[in-house]
Amino acid sequence: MSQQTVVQLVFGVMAALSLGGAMGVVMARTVFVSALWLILSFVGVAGLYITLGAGFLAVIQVLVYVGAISVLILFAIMLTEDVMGDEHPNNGQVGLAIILLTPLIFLLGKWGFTANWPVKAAAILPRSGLSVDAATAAALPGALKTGDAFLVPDSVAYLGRVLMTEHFLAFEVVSVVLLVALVGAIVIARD
Amino acid sequence: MVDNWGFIAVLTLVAFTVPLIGLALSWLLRPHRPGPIKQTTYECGLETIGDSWVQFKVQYYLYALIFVLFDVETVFLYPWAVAFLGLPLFALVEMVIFLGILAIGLIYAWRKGALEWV
Amino acid sequence: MMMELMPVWLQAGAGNPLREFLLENILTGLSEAWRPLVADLLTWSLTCALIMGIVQVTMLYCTLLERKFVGRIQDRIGPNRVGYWGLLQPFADMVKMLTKEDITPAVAHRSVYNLGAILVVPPAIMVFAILPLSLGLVASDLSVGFLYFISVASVVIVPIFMAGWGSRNKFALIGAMRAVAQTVSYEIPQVLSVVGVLLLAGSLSTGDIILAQGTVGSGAQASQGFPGGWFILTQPIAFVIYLMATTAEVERTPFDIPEAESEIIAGYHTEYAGIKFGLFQLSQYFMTIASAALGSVLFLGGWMSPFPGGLLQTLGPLNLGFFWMGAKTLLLILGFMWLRGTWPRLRSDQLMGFAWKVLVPLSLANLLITALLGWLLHGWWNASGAQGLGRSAVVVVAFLAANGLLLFGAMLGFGRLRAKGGRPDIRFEATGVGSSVEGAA
Repeated sequence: MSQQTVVQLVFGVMAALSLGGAMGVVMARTVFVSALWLILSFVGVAGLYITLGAGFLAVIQVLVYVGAISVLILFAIMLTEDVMGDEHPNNGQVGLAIILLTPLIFLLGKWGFTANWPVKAAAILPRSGLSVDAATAAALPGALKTGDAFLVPDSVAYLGRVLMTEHFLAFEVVSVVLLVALVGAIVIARD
Repeated sequence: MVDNWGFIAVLTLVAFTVPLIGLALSWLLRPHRPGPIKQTTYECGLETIGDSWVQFKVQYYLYALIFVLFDVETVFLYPWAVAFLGLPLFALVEMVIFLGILAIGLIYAWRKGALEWV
Repeated sequence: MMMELMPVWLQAGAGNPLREFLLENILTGLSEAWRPLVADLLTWSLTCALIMGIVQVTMLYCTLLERKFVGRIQDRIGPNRVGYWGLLQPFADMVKMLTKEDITPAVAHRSVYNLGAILVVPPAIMVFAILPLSLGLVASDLSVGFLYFISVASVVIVPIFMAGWGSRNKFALIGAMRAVAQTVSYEIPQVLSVVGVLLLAGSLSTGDIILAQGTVGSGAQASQGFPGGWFILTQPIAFVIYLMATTAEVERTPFDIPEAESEIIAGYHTEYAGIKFGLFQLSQYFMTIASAALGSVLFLGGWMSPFPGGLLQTLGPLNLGFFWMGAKTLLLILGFMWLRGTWPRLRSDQLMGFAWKVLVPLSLANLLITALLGWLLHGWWNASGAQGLGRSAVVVVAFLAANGLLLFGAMLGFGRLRAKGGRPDIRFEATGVGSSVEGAA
């Protein structure tokens, strides 16, 4: 039972959580309960990020999706008059869905298991994840030299550095996008 | 990294057992005598009128929208803040522009009355 | 010298003495493939047990302390019948909650209703993973520690919403809506106020944040930390914003609108009885303790001794970090209780307006000033090679002056806004429950 096996087991559990949550979303008869299943699915995705060694992405996933987007969805349900508590019966398209989706799932599964995935050494990072010595840095793709220390790609500081230098234009565009979203939201919600 | 998250996985399991142990203990100890009057919805001694799942006002939704946008903004602040003291002044200028554009959004929401709780 | 005294019993993974002991002496019979895993699981479980024990006992006695303390503030004695000085009162409360009949409303959505009560506890326990007890005594020093805390704490709103909706009670639903709206509104200033600290510390990890505060005052082993000492000295406005936002996050008076008993009975847990009600209380107390501990980590130097030169940081071979950490946390908890005993409850519109119109702009301005000043001072001490107490004094004075100016400017600005009528409209809404009637749009 190596560490790898355990990580794979956890990966399986998390994948099951997110897929089960997604199933719950379409199977639930109440919109509110559907939203709750969706939140479970978000949590599962965060777990997947953790098993992939992307801790920062995982906490951001929980913060933004579970902590913020879910609130938006729940509030949207709360201000919609008719759908809040209604029980919506399944509309009899389950058979059709199964027929259409089975080949797709089969194809995706076949491709997923046979494809040659590039596996990076960065999957298992040093403990605090902030700086490593030269030997470790040589084994990690994209490790950055600052002074005497090396930053590993996963570290938040590395992300900030890259965001501020190489991708600064994208970073500024994000703020414009957020502004447009805010203005649009207010205009739509008030009219 | 893996070690730290492994511990958190175990802690998560333990955290879920705490309320379950409480519920199980209580289930063993407590009386169970339900009745139709006991199980009515609590409402100041009066009968509930209409369904409790009422429609809420749009103000909540507006607040949630503004919240989501600012939440995403803070996500960009963390990497910047952590890397900041080793970066050139350009990083500060970038962040001033970033925050400035979002501050315009906040002022817009303020002016349009989206922050009023009525 | 201090690093030698560093106990690492709680640390996850290799290097933990308990884990090494288990590997070498107890688990010798197991196969090579299983030994590390079993050793890890055992150490983690023991660490969990230790954390749970500390947190549970603290929580139980916080309830007693709160009743005593608020009692004294209100000129009462507080509980004093069960055990000497009421010391057994928490246990009496526990037994009472366990033996109370569980009443579920007939119309409730049973699964959502019950799950809400169960799910409200785990996030409040999980946040303790990154809180250090002392130097090296941190269960999981994640590189994203602070962010982990904030995101896990933000999950609590989901079970709260489930409770409010699942009860199918108007008061419960209104309470849940208020709770969620309030929590999300105050999350922004809470986070923005801390970004300044993260910027000066240069890390999100709780261990690094504490070490960064160690160049003056105590410890003195972090040579490349921030030279301003505890962050309360350089970020006083952020500290106050953090305290206010945290009080709102954990829904304590004066921000307890979601549970305003004179308006909406008990908010989202109106319909819960017995142990399920107890679970909500448990979660709230856990969050209060965790937030106070995080506050002492971020602003009060965590486990560091408050005396200059690290006096009383160690007593013989013993590192007193856990004592200082506990004392600072307790101090902040007492602050929360003091607020509860003194302040009246705010109104919904005042509360929301305060978060978005006062705290968010103020914390944004504070962040910009911190960044600019931090950058200037960093450049200065790199260029001049300034060191030691002189450098620290300059940094602290500069930050205090900037904070003073910011406060002055903010008061001037908000004063002018008020004069122009820009403050929230304070008409009394005579329709239904307070000012946040939800029925009509």
